Amino acid sequence: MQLPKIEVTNPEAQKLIADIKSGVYFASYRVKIAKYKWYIISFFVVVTLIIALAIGKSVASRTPTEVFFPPDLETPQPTTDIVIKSKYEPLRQEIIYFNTDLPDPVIPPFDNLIDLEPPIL
Amino acid sequence: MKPFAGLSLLLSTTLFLLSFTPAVFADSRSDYDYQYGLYRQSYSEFSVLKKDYLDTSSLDNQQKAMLSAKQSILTRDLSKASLAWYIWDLIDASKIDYPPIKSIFNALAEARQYYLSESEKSKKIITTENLKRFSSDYQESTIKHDRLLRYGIIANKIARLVRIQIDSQTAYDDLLPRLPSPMPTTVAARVEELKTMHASINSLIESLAVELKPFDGEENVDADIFYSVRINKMNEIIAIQTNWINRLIDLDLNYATSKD
Repeated sequence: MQLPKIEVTNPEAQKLIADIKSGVYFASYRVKIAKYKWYIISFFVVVTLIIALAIGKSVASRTPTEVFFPPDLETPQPTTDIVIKSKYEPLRQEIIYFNTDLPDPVIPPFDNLIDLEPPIL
Repeated sequence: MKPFAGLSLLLSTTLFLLSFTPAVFADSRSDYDYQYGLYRQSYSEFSVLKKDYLDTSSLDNQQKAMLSAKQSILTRDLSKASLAWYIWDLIDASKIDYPPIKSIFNALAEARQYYLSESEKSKKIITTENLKRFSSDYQESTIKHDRLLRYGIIANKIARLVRIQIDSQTAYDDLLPRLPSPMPTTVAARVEELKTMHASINSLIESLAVELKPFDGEENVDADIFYSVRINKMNEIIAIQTNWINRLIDLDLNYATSKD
């Protein structure tokens, strides 16, 4: 089925088509784009980043978080030293804890001159 | 018969309950603490009353101060008697018979008697003149007994060192038959070392005890050096005793055989 051929008879439309075909119509836009090209590039970069973050977030939320456990180490067992005690240990303790401080017991101060005489200055 | 039956029931119940009552014995330490507490209390009262009397010499103040002075003297001498007994008891607890300190041990009992007799004498004080003479005489006569307490404190430490030596000898005698026979050369040498060390500790303790001469008079008996010199010597003895027992235990753990 062939499409019907449309014949443009409107002079304004004919001018517009001619401008589009010749590129005159886009000349003003090209100038504007050339003028703000860095703003436009930056805008697209930011938008791309935001979209990428949004996509990343939605993907991450769908994936369950992987939980990392430390490698299964064996439970440390307390080392059990076999303590061999001598039967003379009490005597050793007695010697070690012998108190050499003197006087023991402390002799408190006693007043050997109890009388009613006035104190000698 | 009914009243007698009630009485006998009451008596038997009382006796039954008394049989469960724990016996209370005052030891020398608690007696000393009690007596010294009384002395502190009465002496602080006496200090206040004496000041009142010296500030205002009224007959009433004199009477109060006199009574308080008598009470202070009584409690002071009872405290000293208790202290002498306490030190004597500490030495006795070591359960030793060591001639170099025996004179001090006996003198402590005499000192206790002296303080008790002085406490009795103080009850006869009536006038201020009596009090003055009593205190003046006391100040001279008590010096040797007071100093003896200082000697007694050192004698107690010596007694404990001797006790350790006796116990060490017992341990040595117990260990010897459990060592291998015939004894290896190294073990024999170590046993010989123990013997020599034990003898040298004995002589150190003896020299410490012999230096105590309470009846000959010692210059520094009231000074701090009296104790500090002895502390140094005892530390030296304890260091050797520790070394000795460590060596004995080493032999016991590494070479001795169990009797069981």
